[in-house]
Amino acid sequence: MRNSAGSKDWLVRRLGLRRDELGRTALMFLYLLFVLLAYYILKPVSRALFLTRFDASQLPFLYLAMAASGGVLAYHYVRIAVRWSLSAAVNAATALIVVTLLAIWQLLRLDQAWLYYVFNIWVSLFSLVLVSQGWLVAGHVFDPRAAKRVYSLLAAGAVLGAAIGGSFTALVVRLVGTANLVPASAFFVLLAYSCFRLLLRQPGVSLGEARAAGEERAEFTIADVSRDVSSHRHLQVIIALLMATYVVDTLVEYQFSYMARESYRGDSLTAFLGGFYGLYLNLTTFILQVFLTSLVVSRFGVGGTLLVMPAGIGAAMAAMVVTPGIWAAGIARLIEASTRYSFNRTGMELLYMPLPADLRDRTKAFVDIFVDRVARGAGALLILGLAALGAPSLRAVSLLTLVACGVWAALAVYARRQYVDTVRRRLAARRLDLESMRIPYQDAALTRRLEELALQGEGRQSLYALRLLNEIPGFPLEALAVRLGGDAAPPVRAWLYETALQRGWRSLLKEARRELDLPAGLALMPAAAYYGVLGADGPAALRRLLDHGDPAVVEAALRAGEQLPPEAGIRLPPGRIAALASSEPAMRRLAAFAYRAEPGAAVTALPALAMDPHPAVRRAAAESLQALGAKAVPALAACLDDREAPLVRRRRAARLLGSIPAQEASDALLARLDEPDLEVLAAILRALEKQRGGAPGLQYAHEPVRRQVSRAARMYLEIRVALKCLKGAQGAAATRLLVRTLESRLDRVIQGLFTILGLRYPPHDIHAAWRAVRRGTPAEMANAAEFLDNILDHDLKRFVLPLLDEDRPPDQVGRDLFGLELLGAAAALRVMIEEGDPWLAVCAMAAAAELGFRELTPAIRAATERGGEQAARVATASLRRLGTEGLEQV
Amino acid sequence: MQDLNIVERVIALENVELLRGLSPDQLARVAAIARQEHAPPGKVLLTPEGPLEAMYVIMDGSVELLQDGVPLEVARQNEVVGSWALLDNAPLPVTARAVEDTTLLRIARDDFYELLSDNTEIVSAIFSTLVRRFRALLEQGSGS
Repeated sequence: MRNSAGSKDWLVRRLGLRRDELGRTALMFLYLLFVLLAYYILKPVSRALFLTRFDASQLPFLYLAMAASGGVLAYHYVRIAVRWSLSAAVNAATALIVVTLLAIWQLLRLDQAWLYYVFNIWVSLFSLVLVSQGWLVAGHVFDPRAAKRVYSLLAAGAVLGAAIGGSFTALVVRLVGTANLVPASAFFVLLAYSCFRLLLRQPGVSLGEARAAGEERAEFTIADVSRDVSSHRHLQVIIALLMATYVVDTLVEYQFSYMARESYRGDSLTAFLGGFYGLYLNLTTFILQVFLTSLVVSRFGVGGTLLVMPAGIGAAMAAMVVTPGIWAAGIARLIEASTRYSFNRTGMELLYMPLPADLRDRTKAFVDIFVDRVARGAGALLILGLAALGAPSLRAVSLLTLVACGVWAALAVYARRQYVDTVRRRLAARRLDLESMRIPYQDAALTRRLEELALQGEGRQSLYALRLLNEIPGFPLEALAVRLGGDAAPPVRAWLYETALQRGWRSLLKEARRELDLPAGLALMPAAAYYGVLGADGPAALRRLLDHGDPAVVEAALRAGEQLPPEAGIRLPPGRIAALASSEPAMRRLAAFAYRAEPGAAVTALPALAMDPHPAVRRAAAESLQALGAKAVPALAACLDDREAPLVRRRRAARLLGSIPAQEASDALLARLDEPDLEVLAAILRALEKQRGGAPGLQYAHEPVRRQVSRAARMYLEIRVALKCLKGAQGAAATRLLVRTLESRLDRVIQGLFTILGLRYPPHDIHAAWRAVRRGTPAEMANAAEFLDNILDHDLKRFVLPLLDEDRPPDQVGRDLFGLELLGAAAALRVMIEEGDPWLAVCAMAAAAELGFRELTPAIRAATERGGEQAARVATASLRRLGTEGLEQV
Repeated sequence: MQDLNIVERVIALENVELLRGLSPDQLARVAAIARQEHAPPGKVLLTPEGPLEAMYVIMDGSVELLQDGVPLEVARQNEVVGSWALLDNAPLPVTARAVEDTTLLRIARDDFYELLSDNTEIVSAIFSTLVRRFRALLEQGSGS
């Protein structure tokens, strides 16, 4: 029993599965294996019978016949799938296939020419119906995240079935003859069906409501499907890729069959085809699937996976053009067929995933079957067209295949972009879009009303009316401003002076000059700026204001002076600024502004003023530091680095760095992401986030981001592992407090991780992913993970994605990524006491005492020496609770 | 009652409704500005006449609340008296008086504001709590 459980665990770990999905994965694996096994018996049998009866020139007609009949069957199949449940559709298809196989077996004895066409057509439909049903079932049994884990394995099952089918054919055909392999195939179809029935009995598996279309779409037509396809770019891309796949498949298949017929006939041809598919083709496919597909999917994503097939076939076709023969054709076929059921199948199934479930179900069977037929028909027409043009047949087909591979590769690149866009749109679908409102003030009556409101000269309404009138092209605003003059309310006057300066009006200078002699108010600053720049004696008037006793007036002059050239001399002497900096708050605030004109002294003085106890001084210093830009960075970085400084100062330094929209500031913040203090780190992250929002042109290096993502992932997992240890412990208030502390840190760490990702990737999209993660529903988590999987660099997603995988225990992820061990509650507390930050350490000490962990006495005692007064008091209380022995030594 | 350590203070502050949205780390910062006080029986903590300058969390003992000399209720261990003092200094229309030897945690409004000035995330958490409470009151009002 224990061995069985151990084997199961080993298998689960080895295959990267979850325990609860092992049963359904195994049955789905077998289901696909037997379907493919049956198919790979029928495929060499039907093709060998055809090529023995006819020559290769008949193959394009066979392909056309398959395409025509396939379209009709696809239409009827979809209508059945719409009306029936998926389960019923599988039942009906299985029964029909088994009965038909037995009938064909009997009819083959009559050796009728038409039957070889019918048999080949029927075999091609067999694979499409049963295999596409299989993948549709898989799409309902596994969610997108599980699908990403499991689909490689399922595709391996399909490949293995094909390998066994081909080998079985090669071995048995000489004993029983080609035709007698047909009932053997029927037997394997029944085995596949048995697996399907067992799959339906698995816990959590239900296809009861799964259909190829919703109930409301019961009257489903080709027009409906066409409408879906025409309105979804993502579906169009899928179809284009499938077209390319099957056109190339037909061209390669033709070349291979042509060369095979040149070399073999009868049962030998059947054995060759079976052996080729069984031994060579599927061995290659299986190796690719098991060892490479997951690697390629996780490393290069959907786009890279879809590129493998066209690139491989393109290379083989180049060889075929140079040296045509059975080996070159065989290698081309080998690459084509092996990558189709490994890389391409996996990539295409993933490409379907971001589509809404109802759309996916409605069109998947139709697209798989119908597009396959049309593309193969197009391939056949291309071969016939080349023959009609008199091109040397085989080499021309090889050249054509090479061109088709180029188009296909371009489509794969485009598909990747489309895939990411589709996932992004689905994530963003929850966003609120606020539409701006437009006011139709071209209306003359409305303009008159606005003028009346403006001329009232007071209150918000007047200001609002002026702003709207300012927007009307050609409106004589200056005349209105003169009429309002200096009688309007201060906010209106302030706006008028600002506008006058912007537009270069001189008509309000007299009012502005008068404003400079009034007590400081809202309109003083704009009036000083306006008069200073446009007034005849503007600079002189501003210089006079510098001696004013009211610091607000001096500040207004200094601010206005910033708009004049330095030689205008609107600045305070350095000695006076230094004196102001050590005076009362209003003067210190003035000094903070005045330092702007003295950058040399400002870089050392402003950081100190930015830490002033008075908020108004801090705000002024912050504004001046922002105006200094990159020059302020070294001094602020030094404040941030000062680990002896109070937390408040360091957090402010981070905030101030974040307010400077310069590359030097962001580099300084980024370089400090290894900050051990979580509070300071949170401030650094907030600063970076703010900076990113305000200055999108800044660059954020990859390496510090990668390091921080790795660090955050580790912290996250350490906390999760610690929580797992503690949740089983029988603690009281202190233990519960520690658990809550860890939980709140978990939120903070994961939020910080997304913040840091937002520096390298579109912040809006990362934020949408973060919100999806916060909501935490399985579907949204899966979508977020899927999205991140496609946009993050490989070295980032290897840390991020496992954190979002809720099915995987954190201790397992922690062990795999960082070698973390689940050590138990006492060991977890010891780590927190010895290595945690002060608050975590005191919580851990209190919890250790509560849980009676006497073995932690030495660690608690040591913590009293490291920590401050608070830590010592908690340690004393904890040791007292654990026993007097420890207390004596403290 | 001996002096409470920071962990015990945080555990006590978790009961304060106004501070309910704060994480334990944030509560630890609030706990750091709290002062432990002892009130002998009969000591008046709040009066309708005096300004409301601090909030009290009862750690041990009990405090009686009276209006116009009429007892309204008795607040006991882990309960809070004058929690809104942290946001508003308008006097409460009640008198708060220690019934027995009582140990209290006192958080002065000025200290609290000083703490908030550098901890915007605490301000944000308190706003969230207030908004939730306001919304609940509105729903209660519309329901009745």
